[in-house]
Amino acid sequence: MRERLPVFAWLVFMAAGAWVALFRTPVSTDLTHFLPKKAGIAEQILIEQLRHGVASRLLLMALEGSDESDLAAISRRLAERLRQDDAFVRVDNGTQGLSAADRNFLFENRYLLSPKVTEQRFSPEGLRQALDARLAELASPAGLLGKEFLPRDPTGEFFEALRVWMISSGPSLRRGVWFSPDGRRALLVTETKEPAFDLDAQAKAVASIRESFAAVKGNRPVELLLIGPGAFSVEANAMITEDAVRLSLLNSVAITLLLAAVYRSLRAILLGLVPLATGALAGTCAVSLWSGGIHGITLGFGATLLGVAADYPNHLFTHVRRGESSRRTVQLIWPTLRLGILTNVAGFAAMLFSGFEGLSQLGVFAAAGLLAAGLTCRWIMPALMPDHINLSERVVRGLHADELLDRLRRFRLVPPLLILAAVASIAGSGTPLWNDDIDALSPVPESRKALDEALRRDLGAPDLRQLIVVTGDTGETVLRRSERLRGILQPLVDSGTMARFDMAALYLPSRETQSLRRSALPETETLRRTLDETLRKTSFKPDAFEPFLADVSRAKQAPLLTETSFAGTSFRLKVEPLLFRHGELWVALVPLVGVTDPAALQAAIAADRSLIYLDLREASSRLLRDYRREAVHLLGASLIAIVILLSLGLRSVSGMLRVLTPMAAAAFVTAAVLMRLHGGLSLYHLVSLLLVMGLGMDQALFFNKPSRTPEERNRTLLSLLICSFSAVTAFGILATSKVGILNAIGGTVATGAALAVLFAAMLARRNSSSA
Amino acid sequence: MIYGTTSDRPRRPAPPIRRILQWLGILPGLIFTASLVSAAERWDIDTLMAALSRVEGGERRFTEIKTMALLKEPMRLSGTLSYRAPAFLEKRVLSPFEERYTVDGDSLTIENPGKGIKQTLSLASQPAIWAFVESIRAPLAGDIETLNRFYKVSFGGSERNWLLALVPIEPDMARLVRFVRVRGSGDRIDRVEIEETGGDISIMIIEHRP
Repeated sequence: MRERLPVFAWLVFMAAGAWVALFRTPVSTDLTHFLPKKAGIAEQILIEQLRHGVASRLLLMALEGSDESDLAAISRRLAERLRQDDAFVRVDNGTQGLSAADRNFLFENRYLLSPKVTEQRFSPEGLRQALDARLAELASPAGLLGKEFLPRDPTGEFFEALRVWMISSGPSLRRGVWFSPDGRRALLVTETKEPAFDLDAQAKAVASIRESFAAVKGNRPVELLLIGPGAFSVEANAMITEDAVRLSLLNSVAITLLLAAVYRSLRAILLGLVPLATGALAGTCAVSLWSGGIHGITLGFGATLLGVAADYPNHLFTHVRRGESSRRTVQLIWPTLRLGILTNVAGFAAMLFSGFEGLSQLGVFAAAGLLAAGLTCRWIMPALMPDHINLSERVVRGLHADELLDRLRRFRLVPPLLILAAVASIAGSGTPLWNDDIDALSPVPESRKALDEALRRDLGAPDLRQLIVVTGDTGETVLRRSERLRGILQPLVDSGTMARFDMAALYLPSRETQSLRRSALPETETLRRTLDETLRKTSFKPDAFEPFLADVSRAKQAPLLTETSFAGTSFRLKVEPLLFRHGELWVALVPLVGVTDPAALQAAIAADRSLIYLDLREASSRLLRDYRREAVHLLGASLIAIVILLSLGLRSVSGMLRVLTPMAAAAFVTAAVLMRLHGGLSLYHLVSLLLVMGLGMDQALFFNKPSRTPEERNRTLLSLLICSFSAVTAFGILATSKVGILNAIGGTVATGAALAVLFAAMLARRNSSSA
Repeated sequence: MIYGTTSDRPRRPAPPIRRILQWLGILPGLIFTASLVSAAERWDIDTLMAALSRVEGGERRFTEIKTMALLKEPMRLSGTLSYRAPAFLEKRVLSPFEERYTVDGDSLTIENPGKGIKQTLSLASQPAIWAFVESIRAPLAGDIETLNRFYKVSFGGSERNWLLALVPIEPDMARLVRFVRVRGSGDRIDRVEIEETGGDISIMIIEHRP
């Protein structure tokens, strides 16, 4: 009964853990976990934009492969269908233009919205100029269009107000719909209701677009290109899932075959999974209790780090001698195993102190997971194991561990020398060790990124990469500051420092500006006198502009426009993302397009503290760099903890060197190789190197385990060969993935694991009993 | 065509009159005359379009009178009109002020060198203006397909005095223009009349004599 007790406790834990993990642990993909806990306003806005910003919700579509009329027809029908779909806030393909409500809004408020409204405009000379211009327009083919507005708007303020909106009106039209400049692609833009990180919603939106396209396409030879953050996440997710499933199936088959060949027992193979599964569950539960949920990235990286636990059952199985109880075996290897587990746990525990939620989660996951896996191995496995593991005696005897290690020991100077060579290679490569470009982490293939850029260029859509953030206490303050900023930016556009900018204040002038314009309007009687005087000298009839007089007198009394005045028009969609509340503050975003000289731009706005220049890509790379730096610093702390634990456990300097040197050599050599291959290490490589070090330490500890007999040493060698062979196989298979992240982790760990076992063997302690 | 430049039909050399064949000669003569008559009767819209599309281009003077409710008296414009098949059209106003409107393919350019104005817009983005431009350019090119796209077209008259009546079907244009009438003879266009929904009328007369 006593031996059943731990198993019973374990079963209860597993059941409770499964319940917590499945029903009480929200898996988030919230990037704020990767923000430092004390993030500035710029970082918060950055994350907010990446999560919810309009840019993150745009899906861009291009139709190509047929003639103009086919493409235009499909574009129209596709847009019509998608407009019926709730998943999309808007669908643009150029057909919509301004609605009647939009035109009416601009026309009614033209004297507040037109940037040309000044007193001079309504002076005798101003009116004279305006009337001459209108007369010339009447003669031109375009005159037909403005004619209906002429009696009410002889100074042309409606067209001035309209022009502000038309500047960013998008790509060229052919057959009434948007086309790329070369006419080969019809273009559409949709904005999804849900943000890009909501994968389910995005997958639904993408599926809906493809379905609608298939339905309207008929049998015409038209292709649909679909890009945008949402489409990319859906694609990447599908690609990673597909690869992960396929490769882990392949892995399972390979590892099962390997273990079956060695242990010849299905039970042993299944039992081999127990510590790993327990560890993963324990890690998930620990993180869930620690921070109330788990981040998707923690789950992925954490599961990678737990790879060390896959070795534990192998150590146990291979060391069971004929006639010896598994309980006895576990007691024999436990000191070594314990030291390995504790040093690894200590290493990861350092991450708990991280200023990044994401990094501390990772530490909790790995530490709790490894601890649970180790305890399972010690207390549960013996109770579950068969009495007898039928290892082939021929294999055990045939290994000749002592001779093999003796031969390898001749190379014992190689690992330290390789460390020096690797360090020299890294230092001499001339490139920074770490690649903090956020793109290096992106699973989106290059060809898709190029297409994304091309379509954005064709659409004239800003990629929201560079922004100026304007902050203030009220919407009005922010609009006034924006107007001042406009005075700084316009000369930069004229001088070519940047191509274009956009801001809410262009569309919604501050109330200060609006009331200036309103007070520039003359009194009705004054205007009537000036107008009569002017009309006498033109060919317009004297009473042609009565409606104009009425409109101006009404405009002098009209209320000023506020942030909410755009409700009911499509301008709301334009203004709301550019001007909004953020907690206590009001924020205006000023997207910049085509900045050629960021330094000049920053210098120009440096004087005003309420303006923040933000390069989203640069800022996200900086966040990533901070995250990675902190990880590396904590790694230093981990190493100190590891050295202390090892010195307590081994009580010998040479023993410590035998353990630390192969680990360091494996990590440095792998890092140097990766550097030469990729020109810089990413966060994925860093996590993989942590696993390499964990594996390396574990193996070195076992190589240096005190052993009584050559047979036991053979068993240890067998165990280590199985461990490293399965690690190299499993991660080598992962390295064949075409997905960047899987490929990076696979390649790094496979290389590192192979090197680690080789170096550990070279530095293994000579066993006196074999002499 | 505005710019009717095709030559007269070649005249057959008179057949040698042989007494013995004289009466026989009457027969082909009769047949020839009959075929001419029937050709004249078959001057329909297809014949007109075919004739117009054979004209390569040219330059003519025009006078335009615009009668508008807003103006004290009609506006009189004069200048030149140039066409090059199939899609280039330039209207150059010389009096009472100088301005130049050029249509080439999809682009319309308005130029006033005196005021330093040069504005280009895409016809496709302004359906009403596009329809308006095609009321002159499509007949010049003999392009019935484009005409049918923007207008309900009816045809009447004879080769010497024909009339194309165009009623807009493009909604933006239909809101502004009631109809366009294009008159001409043979492959020349003589006159374009536009009546707007508000009652304003514009008449352009193209001169074919130097």
